[in-house]
Amino acid sequence: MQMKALQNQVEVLTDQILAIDYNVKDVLQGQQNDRIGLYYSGLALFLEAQNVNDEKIKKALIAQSLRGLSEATFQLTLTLQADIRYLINGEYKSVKGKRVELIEKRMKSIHQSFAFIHQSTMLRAGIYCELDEVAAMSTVLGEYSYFIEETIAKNAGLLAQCDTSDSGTESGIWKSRTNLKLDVVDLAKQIKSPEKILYLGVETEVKTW
Amino acid sequence: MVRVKGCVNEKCAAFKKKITYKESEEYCSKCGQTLSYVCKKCYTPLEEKGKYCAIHQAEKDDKADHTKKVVLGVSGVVLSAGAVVFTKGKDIVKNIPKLK
Repeated sequence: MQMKALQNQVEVLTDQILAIDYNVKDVLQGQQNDRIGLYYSGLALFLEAQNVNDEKIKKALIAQSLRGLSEATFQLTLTLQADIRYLINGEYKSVKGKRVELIEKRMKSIHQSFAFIHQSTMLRAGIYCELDEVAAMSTVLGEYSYFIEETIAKNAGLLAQCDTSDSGTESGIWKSRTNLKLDVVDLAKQIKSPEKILYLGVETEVKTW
Repeated sequence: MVRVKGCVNEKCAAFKKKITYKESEEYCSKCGQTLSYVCKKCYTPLEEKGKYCAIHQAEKDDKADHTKKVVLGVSGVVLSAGAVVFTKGKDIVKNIPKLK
């Protein structure tokens, strides 16, 4: 009888833990959706601004769009950094029998965050370029370059190890992403200098046939 | 712990065939490039100490946990069966003189 009562209690506890687990998963998914939602909101506002005739409304929409995109970028950057820290500290090691599953889950989140950070940064840079705000565009690209250098390039080896689709070589997914580092220092200097000279280079095309 | 080395030059035949080298070897016998430590299973270059990359190490640890669980389960069953046999056996031994 005692054993039966104990078994029932354990079953109730297991059900409660499962329910909590589902709720935590929902909250985490909701947070990620909020961040990605900011990107889509920024994109939609920019597209809408293109079709607005009133200049005031257009400017306001673009400003809101830039703000949404910026918030999405930095919130997702922090999420991505937290995911990488989780892998570096090997926090998955304490969960017996589910290590691979946990690594794969984090890698999925990292891939998703990276894709949206990239898209929203490029869109912000593109918007500034269209507005003829080249200095602001170079700042955005500089920030992105810093993110690639500090977050991706430094951890490319580990990320390649945790990614089953990556060979870990220079042409692998993560090491090739480190090449997204942009040298915008010269661009910023050129923009700030009073004399602006733009040199156009012409490359000769080599025919291979 | 035996670690293996490999050539990470993507154009090299050793890389394509995933040829592994001993730890003592320094250069690739096919292209002459300096060898790097690689994962024994998937040939991914390793930066830290260890035989396997993070994902394969995790896979190995998961398998070990699973085996431990199975062994513990089986030994538990065997022990309880042994205990039953032991107690019942005792009763049978006690009852043998009565049967005579």
